[in-house]
Amino acid sequence: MKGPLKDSLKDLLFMLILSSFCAFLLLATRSAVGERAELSAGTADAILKIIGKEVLPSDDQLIESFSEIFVRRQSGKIKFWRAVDKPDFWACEASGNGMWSEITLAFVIDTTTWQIMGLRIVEQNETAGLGSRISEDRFVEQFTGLYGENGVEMASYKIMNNQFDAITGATSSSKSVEKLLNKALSMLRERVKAGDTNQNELS
Amino acid sequence: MNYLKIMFKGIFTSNPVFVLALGLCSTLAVTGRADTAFFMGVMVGITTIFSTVIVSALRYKIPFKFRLMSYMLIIITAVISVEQLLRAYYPDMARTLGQYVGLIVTNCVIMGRCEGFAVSHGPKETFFDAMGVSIGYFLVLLSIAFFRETLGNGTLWGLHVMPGSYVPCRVFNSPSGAFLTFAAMLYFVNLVKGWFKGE
Repeated sequence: MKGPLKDSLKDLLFMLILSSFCAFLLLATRSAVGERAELSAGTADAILKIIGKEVLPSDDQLIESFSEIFVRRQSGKIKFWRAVDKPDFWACEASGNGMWSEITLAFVIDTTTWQIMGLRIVEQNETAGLGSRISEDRFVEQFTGLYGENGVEMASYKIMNNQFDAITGATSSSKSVEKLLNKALSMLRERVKAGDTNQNELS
Repeated sequence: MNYLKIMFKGIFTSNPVFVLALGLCSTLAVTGRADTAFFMGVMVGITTIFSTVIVSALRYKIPFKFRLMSYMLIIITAVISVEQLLRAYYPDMARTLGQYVGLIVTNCVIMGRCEGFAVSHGPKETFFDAMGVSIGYFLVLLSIAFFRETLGNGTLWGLHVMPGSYVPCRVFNSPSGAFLTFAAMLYFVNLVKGWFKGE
């Protein structure tokens, strides 16, 4: 083999080994961190409260308890977990733009009836006294029992079983919750229709 | 002794921010609060030490034409690992620092030490150099954050430290406040350096 070609192959081999080493390090970190990097204690707490599980005192126990019940199916801005014992129960965490900053919400839905079992606002930094009221029970409890297959709708008068009322003076923040929830529901619908199997896990 | 000299050089005479003027974007962006500055300093420190020591250990093996790509690969690995740990154990801080954690990859301090020191020195010397540079960067971040948070909010690490009658000067929370604080500190550092040199 000629000199330059041999050198190029040696360089490529080095880069291949270095890339493998880096990939191995990333995998090691990932496995050491485990579910903690994907799941915040706030989300675990919100979802466990929705399904009526006893709230545990420490972050570690919250995440451990959550991981026993749910298995992660999707990462990213919109995350899905599927219940181990009841495959039709899905937990979701969705983050997106609010009026001033990012809103993170968590909800649980039963995909046999497409009824939302509960929704909580995990994090928001909306206008104090107005938009920040999206975290209040009075607002989030409206979502319990809503039919979510075709998305939810913000409406002044609730006629359909997928409608909810906005917070007075905080239409923009309420609209952000609607948009975020609909985006998550639409993604979940596609996932369920496509047939969520072990092969497409964590895609 | 030689190793300590290398370390002190990184902290004072070759301070990455005040002397080499590297890593200014993150310096100005994350110094609004002491806690964010602390975490940023620690993360840049870990990344710098890890990356430069690896580069130094592999310095005779890294092909010259692929050297920048190799450095980037090593730095990215370190940054992603540190980011994962931060997201896992300090999720609130990870959200506060936002994109600046990912941007450590492009921090000139790290690339500068890889190219300027690690490729021509052994891992031991590189370790002490990286330690010095990291401590220097960390101290600058903390000192800027100290002034900005105290004057801009009347707090330090979230705790009230100024008298109740103090009216916070909000300009220190803004980017212009960051530039003003940095310029004032740079002026002071150069003044002290001038005194030492007898100028």
